[in-house]
Amino acid sequence: MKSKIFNKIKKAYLLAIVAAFVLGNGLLLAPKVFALTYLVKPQIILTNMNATGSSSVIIEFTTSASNTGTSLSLTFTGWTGGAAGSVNTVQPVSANYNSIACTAITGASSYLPGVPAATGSGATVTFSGITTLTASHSYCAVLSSATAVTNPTVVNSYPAVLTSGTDAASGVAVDVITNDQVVVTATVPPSFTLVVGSNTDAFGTLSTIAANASAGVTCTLSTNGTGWYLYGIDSNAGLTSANTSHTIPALTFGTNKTISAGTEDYITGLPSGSTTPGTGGGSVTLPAAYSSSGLGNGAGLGNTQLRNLASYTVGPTSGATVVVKEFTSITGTTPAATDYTDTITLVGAGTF
Amino acid sequence: MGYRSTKNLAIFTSLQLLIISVAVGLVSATGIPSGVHGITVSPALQQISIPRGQPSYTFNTGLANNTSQTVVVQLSARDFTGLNESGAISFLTPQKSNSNVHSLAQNITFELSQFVLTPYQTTTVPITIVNANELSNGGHYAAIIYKVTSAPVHGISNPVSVNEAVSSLVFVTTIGTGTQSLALQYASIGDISLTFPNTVNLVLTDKGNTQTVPTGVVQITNANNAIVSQTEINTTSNLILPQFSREFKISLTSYKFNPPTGYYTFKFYYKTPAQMGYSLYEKKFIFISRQAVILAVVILVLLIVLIAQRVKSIARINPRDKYSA
Repeated sequence: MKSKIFNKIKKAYLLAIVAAFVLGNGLLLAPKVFALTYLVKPQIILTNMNATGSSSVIIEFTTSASNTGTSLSLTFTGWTGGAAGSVNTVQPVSANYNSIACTAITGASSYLPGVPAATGSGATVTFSGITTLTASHSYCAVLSSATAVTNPTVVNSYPAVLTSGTDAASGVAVDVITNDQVVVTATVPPSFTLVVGSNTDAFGTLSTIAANASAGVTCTLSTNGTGWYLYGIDSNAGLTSANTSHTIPALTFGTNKTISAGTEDYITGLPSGSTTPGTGGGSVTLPAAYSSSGLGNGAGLGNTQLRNLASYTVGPTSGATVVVKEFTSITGTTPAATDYTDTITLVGAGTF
Repeated sequence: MGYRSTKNLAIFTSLQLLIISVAVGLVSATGIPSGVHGITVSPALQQISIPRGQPSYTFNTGLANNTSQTVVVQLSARDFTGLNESGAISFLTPQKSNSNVHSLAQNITFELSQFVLTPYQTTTVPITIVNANELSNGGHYAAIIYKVTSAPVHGISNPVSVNEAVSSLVFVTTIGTGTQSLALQYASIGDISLTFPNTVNLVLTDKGNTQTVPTGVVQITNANNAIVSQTEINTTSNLILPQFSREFKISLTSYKFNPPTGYYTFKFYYKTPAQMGYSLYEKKFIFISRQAVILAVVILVLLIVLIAQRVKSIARINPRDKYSA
């Protein structure tokens, strides 16, 4: 009788132990072995990884084959405030970071479905407003505030936990480093371009009764520096004919004058109405000596020194133009020839 | 009929050939190329520091032929000096170059003094400064001139040939041998101003023997020493040649709108790269605002009116006094 009672008690204990084992297996062990699903390749991006810095957060994950949940939360483990790092309570959610779609940044297929919103509490950001997730689908979202999180002051790799729908919580790591910025420097050297429209400037047949003007040569000047100067020098100090060994001389240098028919003279002038400043605006300056009305006034260049013909000191410009013209007058006794010639060299320089 | 059409065809073809041959003849006679002759030099200016005692120094400049023509470029070096206060140069004649203590042209050599640039070609031109250890103390500078030589012109009566050249300015300092010293020559700030200064002209002179890049800050402060307006000078790193002056036209950025009438202080902090601290120029001035001027005018007008009325009333009283007397 006594042993029967003992056996009954023993059976009851055994049943209880078996029941406890079955219950424990069902609740704790079995789900992890058989039924649990996981997020695929979750990632958390801090847009500013600097220690002590604040950052927006970009989230990306792929649901498992059975996850059709509607929840999402992100916990920065240990970011409880102050030097340990913190999570802002106000968490605007966006599909973009700096106007770039999170899908483009992360490669995810789509932004979170529904009208996602989020709030921060402690170290956790909890999302709401997400509609049913699609299984085996990659999603992204941006906690767009520049102060969504404040990074810890100590450089380290910190754990975070991302939980979504029916999938198990997934651990990820975020790095906080000393400096995540690379300062890029570059120097653009000043450059200068001179375009001379033509290498020849013909007078044609010279007249004894009026001042003769050449067609003129257009010079186009460009610089990314602070300005430019144009200089000129004459090789012959006049129009020289090899056939007659005669030179129509430049009578004065560097002083503005108007030539007159009946006197041999040869000068250079830049018509003031033909200058343009290019893209830099402002105006081209013509020195008094070489500023011309275009009607036979200017100054001799000479062959001893480069003389300033024009300048522009406003700043960078492209396509500024000046026209360089020559004027000459002859007498009735100037020896006839068709080979009167001269060579002018125009030198452009940037300002210093 | 067949004969006539053949004859017409022959005449037409002959005319066409004649026109083409005349056109080709004209083009070849003028020798005028169809394209433009633009060339670009970069850098247009460069500063070089040569360690003391180093005998030579080689540096590069870039040259680009932007045209569809092959061009021949001749290299030369020429000394220059300052022309005015705006950064212009004056090329020196060989005679003046010899007496120039900042001369550099004679120390410049080229691997090739002449080379060809094919259409749209860019090339690097190495340039060497020789006998650098024999340069006198202080700064030295010269222009490298790249001259595009033109083919002789035929077939045009009385032509003027035009050569083009671009230059690259080279400024050399020999480390440890130069002195840089700035002096303010002029500041366009008066004692009394009826408009608050928003642009100021400053003229600085380099009293040293080396070219320098001045830096500095201009401030206008009120009686409480609060900054009313401010700006930085020479943000484009312009140079001042030794013993030359340079004008800086600056625009001030205002931090307070409609400054009231009162005493203000113009402060100019300036220095050379070699200086540790800034030199300071200060000038106090009185600014009288437009509102104050209007108020003064109104008070003046009222005073005049009051005085006029007073004079009138005295004039009315006086005759009686006269008669009573």
